[in-house]
Amino acid sequence: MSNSQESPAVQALHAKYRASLPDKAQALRAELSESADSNGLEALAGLLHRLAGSAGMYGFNDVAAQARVALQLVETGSDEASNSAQMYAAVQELCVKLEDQTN
Amino acid sequence: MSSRSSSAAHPFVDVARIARITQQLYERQRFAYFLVDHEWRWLEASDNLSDFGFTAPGLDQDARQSIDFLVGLDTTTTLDLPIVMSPNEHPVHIVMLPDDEVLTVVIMDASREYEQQQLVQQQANENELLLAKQKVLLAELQSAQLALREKNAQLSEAGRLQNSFISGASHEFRTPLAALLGYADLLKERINTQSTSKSRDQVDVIRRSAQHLLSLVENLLDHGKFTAAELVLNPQPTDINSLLDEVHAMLRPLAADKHIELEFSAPRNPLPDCMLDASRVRQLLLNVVGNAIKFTDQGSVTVQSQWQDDELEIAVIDTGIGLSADELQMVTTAFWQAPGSDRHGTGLGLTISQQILQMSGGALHIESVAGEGTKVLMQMPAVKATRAQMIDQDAQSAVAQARLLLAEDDQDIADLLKLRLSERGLDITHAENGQQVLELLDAERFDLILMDLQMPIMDGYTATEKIRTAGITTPILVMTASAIEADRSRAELVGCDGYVLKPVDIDNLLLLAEELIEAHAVPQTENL
Repeated sequence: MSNSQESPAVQALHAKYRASLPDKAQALRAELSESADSNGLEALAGLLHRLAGSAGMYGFNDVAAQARVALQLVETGSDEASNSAQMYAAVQELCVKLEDQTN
Repeated sequence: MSSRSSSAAHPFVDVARIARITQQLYERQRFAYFLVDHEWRWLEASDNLSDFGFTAPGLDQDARQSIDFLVGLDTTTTLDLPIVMSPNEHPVHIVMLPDDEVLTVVIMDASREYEQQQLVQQQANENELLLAKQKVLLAELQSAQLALREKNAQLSEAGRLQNSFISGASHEFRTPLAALLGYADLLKERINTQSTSKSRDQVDVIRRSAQHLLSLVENLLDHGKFTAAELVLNPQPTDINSLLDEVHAMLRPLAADKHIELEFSAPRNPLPDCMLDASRVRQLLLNVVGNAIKFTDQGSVTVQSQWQDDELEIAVIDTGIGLSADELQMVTTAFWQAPGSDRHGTGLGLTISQQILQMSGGALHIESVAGEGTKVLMQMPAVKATRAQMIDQDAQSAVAQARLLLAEDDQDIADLLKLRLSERGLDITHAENGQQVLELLDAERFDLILMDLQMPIMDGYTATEKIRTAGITTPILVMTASAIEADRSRAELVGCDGYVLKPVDIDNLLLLAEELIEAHAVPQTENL
């Protein structure tokens, strides 16, 4: 997602970031299952917040947008079962998007 | 041929008509006539009536019995039939002239009129035929035009797809190549201190190869941009002397590798700072001078420059293999390679150089003799930069030297910002949270703080509040991914000077940084 005007060093950083996306998906999935067990969403929100920021910075706009959607659902809370299901689906979709970037 | 006395003519007969018929009779030479009374009784006829196929009845006989065309008419009818067929299929002109006593019928030869009529008819038929053929041809032409338009559209689409493919593929190549080069740079830095000269040489080979591939891909990308008219020149005040020195330094190792001399002659008069797109002029020089080195195996490559009348002229003269007259014709054609040459690139270097020069309103001239060498002359309009433009440039470079404290907990974002801002000349120090910011501010002075709001240990709001409470006036720009107004209001409330939205646009950030640093610097100067 880097553009042709950027330096090799910046491009290298972009490549490094792209390569880290599957790990980020794994971390999100782990946190999602952790939060379901302990009912605490703060750590998941933190991950999503950082991902929304960094993905946008590196030009992965669809990932950033999906992260913001998931973050909003997480911040709204999961008191209602339907909301919880939506949140779960949004994070899963985000994970798929993250893994797709390296294919 | 007998005739009837003229005294029999009716005094009210149309004189003009008689004159016209007389004229016709005179012209025709061949004519006949007959007369009947008002009871159709045959009175007299010319001797040659039978020449026209008419049979005269006996005197006082009813003329209608032997002259068919009289049937159904009456004897007072005035009739003028220009072309009718006589009983013996001879074209005749019949005129019937009644008066009080008789009906005179004149039968004139109408062969000529008939021929003319036939001719006109034939012409009309031929015209009709031609018109029909013309319609067919027109339809074929329209169909061919349509097919041509479709073919053109297909070709244009194929061209677009080809460019899009080249551009897309180049992008796909560029990213991993740039990564390869970036990592090779990092590796080189590390092994410079730790490894053997052999390892260093091997890394250099990786770097050079990656750099070569990258430059090929860059050329493909630029060519695609030119074809799609996407490339825009951005003239800025440019120090041409420094630019030439830079290109000299970049290409010196290449010339040294080939044991040829690379000389940049000092211009007769110093070159002024001009309005030029420095990156494109650099690309132009690297292409042309690099090409000269590539095709020179012994001798030298000399670069001469001069500025006159708002025009910069740079000549690159080599003692290389040169070009034949045929090759000279082709040398700026995209993707052209010298036949049999083992020094292949993309065949785009000179094409792009020419495109850049033409785009700037300049020109590229090449003179060459096979086996002796080549001279490439680049002419480009280069208006002298005004003092105001130079001051503006200086102001930007002042901001570019600013010291910036970056507070960001996400390592990915921090790495990218550090790299991109340091590439613009800024001196960056990184803190991972608000607490670290406070500690760093205790020990050092910064021109600007770029603060993320959500951070662990101490967030951006709390850190800003504490900074202001401590009386530190360094301008603070906050970064937020949130467009929620409340965040910004709160940030301003605790003492932030401005905010940028993530993803951060570096140019926008630099503009804001410049404003804040200048605004902060002025009161301090006034206080002194």
